[in-house]
This record gives sequence, C-alpha cells and structure tokens, in this order.
Amino acid sequence: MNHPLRENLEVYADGSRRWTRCTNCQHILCSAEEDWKQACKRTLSPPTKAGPLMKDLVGHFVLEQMYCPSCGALMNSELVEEQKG
Amino acid sequence: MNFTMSDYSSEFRRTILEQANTAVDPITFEILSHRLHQIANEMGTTLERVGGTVNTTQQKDYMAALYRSNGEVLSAGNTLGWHVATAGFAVKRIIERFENEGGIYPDDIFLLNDPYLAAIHQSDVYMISPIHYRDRLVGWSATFVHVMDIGAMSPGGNSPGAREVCHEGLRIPGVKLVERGVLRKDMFDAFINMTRQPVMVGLDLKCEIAANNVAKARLQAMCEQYGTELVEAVSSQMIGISETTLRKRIAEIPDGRWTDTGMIESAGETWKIRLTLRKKADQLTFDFTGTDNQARMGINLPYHGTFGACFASVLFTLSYDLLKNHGAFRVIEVIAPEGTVVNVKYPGPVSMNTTSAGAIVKYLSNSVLMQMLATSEKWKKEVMALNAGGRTARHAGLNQHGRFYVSGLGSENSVGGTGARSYRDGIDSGGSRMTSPNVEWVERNFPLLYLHRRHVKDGGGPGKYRGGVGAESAFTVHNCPEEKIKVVAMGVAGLRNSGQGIFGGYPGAPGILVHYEDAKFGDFLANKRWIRDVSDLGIQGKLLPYCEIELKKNDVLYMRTENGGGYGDPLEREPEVVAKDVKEGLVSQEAARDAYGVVVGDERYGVDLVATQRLRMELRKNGRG
Repeated sequence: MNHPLRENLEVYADGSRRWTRCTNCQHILCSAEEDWKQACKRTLSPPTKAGPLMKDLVGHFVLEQMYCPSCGALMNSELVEEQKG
Repeated sequence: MNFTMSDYSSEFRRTILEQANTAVDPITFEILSHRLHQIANEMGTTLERVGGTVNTTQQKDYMAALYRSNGEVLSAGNTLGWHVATAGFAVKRIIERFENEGGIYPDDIFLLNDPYLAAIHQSDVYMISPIHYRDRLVGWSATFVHVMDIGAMSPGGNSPGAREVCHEGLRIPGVKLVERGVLRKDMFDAFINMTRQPVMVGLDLKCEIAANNVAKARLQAMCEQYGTELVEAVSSQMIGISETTLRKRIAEIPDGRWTDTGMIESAGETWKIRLTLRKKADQLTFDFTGTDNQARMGINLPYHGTFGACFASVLFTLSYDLLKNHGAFRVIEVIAPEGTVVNVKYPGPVSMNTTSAGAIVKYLSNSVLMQMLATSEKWKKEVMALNAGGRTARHAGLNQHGRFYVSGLGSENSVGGTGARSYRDGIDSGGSRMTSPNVEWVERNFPLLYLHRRHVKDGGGPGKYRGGVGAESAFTVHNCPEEKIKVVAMGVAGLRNSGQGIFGGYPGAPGILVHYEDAKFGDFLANKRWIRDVSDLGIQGKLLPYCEIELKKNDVLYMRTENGGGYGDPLEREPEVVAKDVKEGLVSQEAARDAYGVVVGDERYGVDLVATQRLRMELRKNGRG
C-alpha cells in the first residue's frame, strides 16, 4: 500500500516490494526497509545558514541537509553536533 | 477557550450517536459531558481568581480536573495536560494510603507534593478531594498550582545547587489539610512556615481548596439533579468514546517506528534523551531506552512525569477534538529505564525538571508523533514543527515596597514562537497555553526595569512556512533597596533548545539567558541614552548555565525565548511573503537573501523578482549540486 512518509517522500508498493521514493521526481531512493537518509545527497553548512542568530552554535553544531540525489528536492534540515578533528 | 458542540469532529459525533443506542441518549450525554467539562474549567477559573502569585493568577501554571472514584481521569479542563495524568497517579496514591488508615471522609482535602510518589517536582503542590454524594464516594477532584517557594536551597524552589531531593524543600507524601470540612490550621501553618513567602503560598493553597470546593458543589448538584447512576453511566461512556475513537484513529495510520533525540547542556555536561515511538495496530509505545543516566542536578523526571508528557502529547495531537480523559491512558505504554534522566532513582534531584527534561520529553513525544502523522494521508495536514523549551529564570530579593519576594521570569518564556504547520506559519509569540503578564505590572511589583520586550528578528526557523518568532527581553534592577536581586537560571540549558524544523524547514534560533555584568547602565541613563539592543552595551555577556547569580545595579539580564522551527524548503516560500516579514521586522534583509533567496529592496521593501530568481537558481545549484 502506498502512503506518504514525509514532505517529498513516499512509500511506494511495486508488487510485493516496497520502496521509498521522491514524490517530486519519482526517483527511487531505497527499499522501504532501508534508511532513506543514506540514499540522499548530504551537505553540511555552518548553522548560520539558518539565520544570523545561530552564530552562538558555530563550532558546536552544523546544519546537515538531505536532498533527493536526482532532482535536489530538500528532504531534511537538522542541527547535528560538529565532529571534531 | 471553552468547548462547544461545533468543536467536535463529525467522526466523534457519529461515534456518540452509534454508542447512544446502547447507553445514555445522545442529548443527555451531550448536556452532562459538557457540564463535567465545564466543572473542570470553572475550577481553573477559581484558581486564577483566588490565587496570589503571578504563576497562578496570570500565567496559568495550574491544573484542574475531575477523576472517577477509582482515580481514572474523567474530565480535564483546558489546563496543563501532563499534570492531568500525574494528578491521576496522586489520586491513586491517596486512596492507597488512606483507605485503610486515616480514612477518606466527605469534605476531606489531601495535600501531596512528593515527586517520588506522584508530583513532578515539589513546587507543584497537588490538592486532592474526594467527592461524596449522600455519603457515597462518587468521584475526586484534583488541582495543582506551582507555589512560589517550597523552602528549598534556592528561592523559588528550582535549585541548581541541589544534589539530592532532600535539598529541594518540603516533600509531603499525603496529609489531610482539610478534615471533614475543617482546615487543619496546624498543618497549614507548618507548611507555609517552611517557605520564604508564607502569605503568597498560603493564598495559593487556599485557591486550591476553593477550586476543589467548587468541584464538589457542582458534581453533587449534578448527582442531585440526574442521579448518581446516570452521571456514572455518562462518565463511563465519555471514557469509552474517547478510547474507541482514539484507537480507531491510531489503527488507520500505517504501523512503524520513529525516533528523535534531545539534548541539555550545562557547564560542560551533556545529557541526551532518546525516544523511539513504535506503533502497532491501535497501540502506541514510547520507549526511552538509550537515554543518559540521571543527572547530578535537578533536571531529572520521575517516571509518572515522563508518562504524563507522553499522555499530553497524545491528547493534543490525535485527541485534540475529543473529551480529555482516561481513554488516552489505555492506548499508550511508556518505557523509561530506571536511573535515567526520564525515570529518576531516589534520591536524585528533580526541582528544575519541568522546564528542562520535561520540556525535552514533551518536545520528543510530539516530534515522533508528528513523524507518525506524516505517514497518513488523513493526518499529514496536522503535522507541525515544534519548539523545545528555551530558558527561564526565577528572581528574588527585597522589592521597592520593602517586602521580600520570589517570582518567575517564566512569564517571559511563555511567549516563544510556535512551529510552522503544513499549511501556515507558526504563531509569533504563540507560546503554550501559559501566558505572559504585562510589563507595567511586573515593574510595579518587582525591582526591575525593562529595557525592552519585543519580537525576535530572525528568530523563526526559515521554511516554506516560517517558524513563529519568539520574544526577547532585557532587564536591569531598578528602585531596589539592596541594589541587587538573586536570579536562578533554569530551563533547557544549551544551544539546541529551539525548534528543529521539519521536512526541510530550518531550526529556530535558540533560547538564551545572558548576564551582562557591570554594564554601566546608569551611565547610559545619565546621558539620556536608551539601550535599543544589548549589543549597544559594548561588552561581552555570559551565557548562563544552570546557576544562581546576583543581578546587581548596572547589570543587565537578557532573555531570548525559544523560536519555532520552519516547515519545508525556504526556497519555496512566496517572495512577497518574505518581503512582508522584512517590512514587519520579523526577518532581516540578510536572512531574506541567505536563507530564503529573496532580494528585498531597502525602501519600500519590494521584491526584486529578477534578482530573486537568479539567486534562488544559484542557491539550488551551489547547495544541491
């Protein structure tokens, strides 16, 4: 059964197999059982990309963003701890 | 806000009519169920009218609800949801303790504030009253207010220096404060005598007695008019309908598993709270396995506090249009390993927990529910980004009227920005259901002078729909006999306390609490200059961890609330809407350009459409490859 997963992502059933695909371009990212984030294009930016008041987070956190590898639709933006060294 | 019939969904009304054939007729059910709901609301109004402190009278930091004779939640008013659950535990603890020893009699009222039994922390004082009709126990009422002092290490009850619960003030496992209608003055005086503010705490206790008396009178009147059997039948049916409808809704959503992690940081220490929601058929399991061990300071939650937060999240996401009662208890299971931040082991401290781990648990339980709702065609429209809780503080000292006081700057953080939804921006200064008192009232009662209270420019997380911006305030001590007051810094310490965005939306700016020491504020005034922004002070402030400080003459305290996360890709936001935000001072031209890819002119805030189109293409190309 098809159902949405989040904005721009859905679970798509093809016979007995289930896939996670981009709703914007229908690109299949992975099987529904796998972690779709691993199939995305990933960028890391300074937290200030989210606005000038994020300056206190510089050096502690980065803004991790996930995009569809086919059409570039934005799937996720999240502050994650900066990996040192 | 009061419920009316039109608030109920057609699905809920259908369920009422379906069940009506086998139980109470639908019209009688409607009248009596609304009446029970209104009793709880009237209890809340009574707390506000009779109470003394700003927490109760203005900020709505209270709870009022009715319970069945076995302690199940019957009817929650429009008050703090998680206390509805924890007060249910408190009713059961009182039944266990007194039914065989001491007795439960008409017109008794019990007091309990032990976080190792049912309360969340000692400052939240529960008052619990059995309701009898013709000598038969027909139900219970319960209230809590957050009293302004509890005799703990720090004034106000939230003690950053406490290392065990015994440092955190009075802890009462249950006493009869009112015995067969007569106030036990010995107990009352003993209680208020152990606080720093006996008059105000006394008023707060009396407002709880008053609210419980209102509940008793109203429920007894219902029993007199309709008979106890009918009231009991309606009560059963109310809970049954809420449970049945909620189970049906959960069953319609695809099974799955969703996770999120929250973080608190203070003075080099970090605590993580991890939550996995598992949904199978019509049951929800909130599992906190993997959460860090309990902290040495009072951010820890007792199990029932964690349960209450999950209960409240279910109430306000999947059940917002249903009668709020025990129905939601029956569909959730909460796993919280003992000895962790979410299930503290004795004698771990807890006094700061409601605004720290409590705020994070509420955030996480809502977050995983939002991820779950997004997988349902029917529910995905309800998805919204969130905010996590921000900073807050207590302040205490001698006021301009020569009296010792304790109060909260929690009022300032009640106006955080809310997260954006799938179809609209978050609410600017939307806060929770708690409210903020007006500046003039604060300045009249406490030795404080506001430099400003206003919206936070660039606070809201960018997105297709922008997160709501919160508020920022700055204060100095003023007309202060001792030229200093104490400030206790609490809330969600650290920098990841604001709203994460959702589905590509960016996070909101973090809530912060900053101390500018010896800011020479008096010199600015002497030179007839006003501080428009704390950056005008020309000195570096100190971000406050959990601590107690002295705020002295010429110091400035700056507080920025949490801000809501955005929803969706900010490059999809209508350029004209971004320009409107810039015009209204909610978004800077810099953020409009960098986060939204919108070029807004200097004068009339018009959009340069050609430059915007070019910039957005460039951002997409450079950022996404």
